[in-house]
Amino acid sequence: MDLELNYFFAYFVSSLLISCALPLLSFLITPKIVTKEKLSAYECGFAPFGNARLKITVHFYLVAILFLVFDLEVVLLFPWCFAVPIIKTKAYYLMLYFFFILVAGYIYEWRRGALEW
Amino acid sequence: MTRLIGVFENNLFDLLNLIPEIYLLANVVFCLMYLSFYAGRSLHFAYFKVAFVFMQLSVFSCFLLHILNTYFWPASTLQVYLGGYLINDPFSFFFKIFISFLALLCGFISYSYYEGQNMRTYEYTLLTAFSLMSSMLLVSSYDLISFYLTMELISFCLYTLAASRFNSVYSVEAGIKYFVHGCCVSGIYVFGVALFFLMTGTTNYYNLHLHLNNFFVDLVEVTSFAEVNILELIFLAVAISSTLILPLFKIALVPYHFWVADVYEGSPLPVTAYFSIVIKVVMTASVIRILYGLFLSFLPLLKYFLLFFGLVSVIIGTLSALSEQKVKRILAFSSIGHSGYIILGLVPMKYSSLGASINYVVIYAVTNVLIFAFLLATISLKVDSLNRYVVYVSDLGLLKNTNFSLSFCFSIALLSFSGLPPFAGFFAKFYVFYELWLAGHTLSVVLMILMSFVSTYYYLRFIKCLFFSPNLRSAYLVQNDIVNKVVISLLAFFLVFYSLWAAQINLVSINVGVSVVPLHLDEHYLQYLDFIAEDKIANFVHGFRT
Repeated sequence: MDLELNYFFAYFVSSLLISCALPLLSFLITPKIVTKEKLSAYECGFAPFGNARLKITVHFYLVAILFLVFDLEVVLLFPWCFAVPIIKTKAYYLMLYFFFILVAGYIYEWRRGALEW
Repeated sequence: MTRLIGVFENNLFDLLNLIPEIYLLANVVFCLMYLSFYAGRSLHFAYFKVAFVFMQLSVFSCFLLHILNTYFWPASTLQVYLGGYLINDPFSFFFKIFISFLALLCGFISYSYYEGQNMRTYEYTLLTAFSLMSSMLLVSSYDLISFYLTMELISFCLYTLAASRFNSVYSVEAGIKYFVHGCCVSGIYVFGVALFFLMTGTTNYYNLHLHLNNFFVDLVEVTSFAEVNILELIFLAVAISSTLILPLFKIALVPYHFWVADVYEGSPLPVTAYFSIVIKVVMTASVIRILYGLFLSFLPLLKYFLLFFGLVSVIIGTLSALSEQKVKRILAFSSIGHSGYIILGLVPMKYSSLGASINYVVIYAVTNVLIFAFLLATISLKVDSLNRYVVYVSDLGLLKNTNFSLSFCFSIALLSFSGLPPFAGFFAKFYVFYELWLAGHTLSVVLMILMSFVSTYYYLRFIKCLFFSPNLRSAYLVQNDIVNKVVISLLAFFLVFYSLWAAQINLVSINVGVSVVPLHLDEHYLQYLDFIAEDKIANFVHGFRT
């Protein structure tokens, strides 16, 4: 078998094992004390059932969008890794420049009070 | 065929071409950092003032830097840089200088509005400057990908700007409407780019142009139907149409015009001014670049679509404005009509007609600056009224009693828009009509002349309100703002005495238009297009090139 496929096989089997083992262990080991609060559906911060036309604070959306922006930079970093051997130092400076602007945006939102609840 | 710019090299000196844009971006980021540390969460008008002055100064120095850049530009070669993503030719230089000048004027005329409304968000001017930077990049973009990226950068700023008066339902509606439609159209555009990449393996304008050219020549030489590759033809048709949708949507040509009236009406007045002055010019430049720089070989087919779109948008833009009462909506529909005229100038496929189209854009933008300077300076005397600015046409009743010279200048702008002879608008329309007449589209010329008669009706309605009808609602007065007065009077002077410089300005716009067309057209190709052959300006053009 090819070497690459070997690696892939090992990776596949180990990830399968780990992903099976984690829920199994947590199912076996953890203490099971059933309460009403635990059994009811869980949503972060507000009541799960009720009127659908509920007023939800805009901070949820704000935090989600800001998280999205700062998370999506990873999408740019992956192709950058492959481009570094080709365009060398220029790639480094370009990414530095990109991060500079990103940090500027972060400082702006921080000082502007978008992160305060 | 020799490939002049087939292979693009990367070097660090590329960035020298980008100095004005980098400078503007650095200024925006610096101003953002300064204000976010200094102002924090405070919403005081002083911080807005700081941002405004800083951005006006940096746009002005960007304007100067563009002129310097043009001066030091080596005219012997095409400057394609950043791996073929961007290009600096006379076309992009002209439009960069022009839009930075227009943005400067736009900022000056809207300051009194900000002061009167007590604007509290300094991001306003920063967003404007940022979209200005990206529109400079859009004008010089030479690749479908860079075109897309810069277009999105502009659009994101504009969505936010349109919804910037967030306590007004109309403004939020405008932002969301523009956002949703713009997203759909961008998706279609990306699909077209993907098809192009699938077929040719490149997204650069010049390389794509060569591929399309070969394809067109093969198509023309086909003797039997069996030789045609149907699948490729369908792919190409879908790709070209879906790529063209995005710029045509942005300049609001008729099948894609539905967003204009609501967005113009909903967004705050300075933003409407920015939309219809700067953004209109930028988007028109992008349409010209993509039609004449990329789809040149398919223009003999595309021009019939353009003729149809242009005629329909002139008709619909004119007829829809007839029943409107609100000033902003009338201006929105008239902008649809004007973009129709601009597109009709692109139909005859000659350098002179391209020049006529660019000439039209220039005059349209300048006239629009005057009109919005008027609207931004005119406020109600009633202090307690909710909206102190002009909303309905009837609000302008008997303005001649309070300010005669202002209403006189405004009527000059309106008459210029409607295309009456001594003013600039007449020459703009005349060049377009003349070129269409020469190209043999006699019927459409007659139709357009009739439509411009009809459009005179709603421009004259403004003048009737200004001079003859009694005011029913409230008295309006011009704000005591020296900048708006200076801008209005200078531009009115320009519109009246345009005929003195008409020849020179037309010549400049022809020269600008020449540089969009790809350099190397082989003889084989010219045979089918006779693009230059019958053109009397060809000799002059040749002189300009060498």
